[in-house]
Amino acid sequence: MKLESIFIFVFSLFCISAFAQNKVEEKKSDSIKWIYKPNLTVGVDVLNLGTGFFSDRKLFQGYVSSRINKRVHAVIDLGYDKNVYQKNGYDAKADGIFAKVGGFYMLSMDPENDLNGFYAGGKLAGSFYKQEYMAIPVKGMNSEGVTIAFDPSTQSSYWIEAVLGARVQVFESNFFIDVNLQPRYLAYTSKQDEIEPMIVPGFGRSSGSFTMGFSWSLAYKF
Amino acid sequence: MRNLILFFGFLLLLTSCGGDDDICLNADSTPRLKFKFKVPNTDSNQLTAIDTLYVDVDYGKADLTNIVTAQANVDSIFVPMRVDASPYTDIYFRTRKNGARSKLRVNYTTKGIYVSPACGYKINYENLNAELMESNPVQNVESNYTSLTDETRINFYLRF
Repeated sequence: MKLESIFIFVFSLFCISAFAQNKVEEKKSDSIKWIYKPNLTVGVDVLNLGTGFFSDRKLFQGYVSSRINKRVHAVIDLGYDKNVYQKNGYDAKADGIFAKVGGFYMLSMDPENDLNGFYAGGKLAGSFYKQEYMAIPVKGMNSEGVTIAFDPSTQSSYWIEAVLGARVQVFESNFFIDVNLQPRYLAYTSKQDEIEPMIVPGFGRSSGSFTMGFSWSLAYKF
Repeated sequence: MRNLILFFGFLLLLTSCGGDDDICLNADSTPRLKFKFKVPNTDSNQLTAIDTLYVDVDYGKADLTNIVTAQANVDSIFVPMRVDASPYTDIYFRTRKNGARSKLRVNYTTKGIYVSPACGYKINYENLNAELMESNPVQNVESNYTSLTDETRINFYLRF
């Protein structure tokens, strides 16, 4: 856990220094007409990939985005998440794939480079996964450590996600650093014997309906 | 631009808050068995109080767990039972600290009921029946209500 925190801290510092090299200013007027040309940006979340080495959660995710007009980008995310939940008498694990479809709008762009700037958007997401609850606590007075076990099962969950982030070109290359926050709201989940899932791959801790995700991606523009 | 950065900072602060998955309010936990007492050596249904009462329960641990200790003038008691796979709970009654001890075995079938993520499961008991294994000081046990899903009904009457 400590190693994981240190890793995120160092990554954040690196991220701040990357931002510092780019002074982004609001553009006064957008008079040039923008025409769609096929374009793709492919990104891989390196922060969560790295964090996976130090924690129980293994999260691999990436995205493909395409600029569809001057300020709007469409984006598809795909990922695999494997996680455990061992707390308060629970012992559970879940792993599976998830996908998100959505778009984002460039709130402010660098006048010298249209692709740099801050953005906000929304996504619809779904996760299909295998879960196993080896222990769920039974609450009773004077009886500690009593649990009930369940067989593995396949479940699915769906959520809506907002996205707030920034994209910065790395010098003059086709590489971009893309950092974003993803507040999520769990809309629907299938259940095994009425049990609320404690972890949902791609969503995170799901005992409450709200979580926040963070990604730090390295992207390449084709 | 500065506002945007502040906004992101604020959102990051939000993420550092912990989850709400570990707070279980005890309101909806496994219900306890309810006993009342009837006057001794008669067939009358008049309720009474016990002047001093000690109750111990065998939860499958090395020692018995004391539930009621030297409580004076008791007219009813709640006894939490085992929530593990055991089909019975042994309850011991005494009226004096070093006096004779009655052993009451309560048999039942259990059913797990899912409550919430923080609370997990609770147990409901069905087909409750009690057998008096050692009958001093408790002389007799009378069954009243054989299922236990909440704590509103009296399950057994005891005669001392």
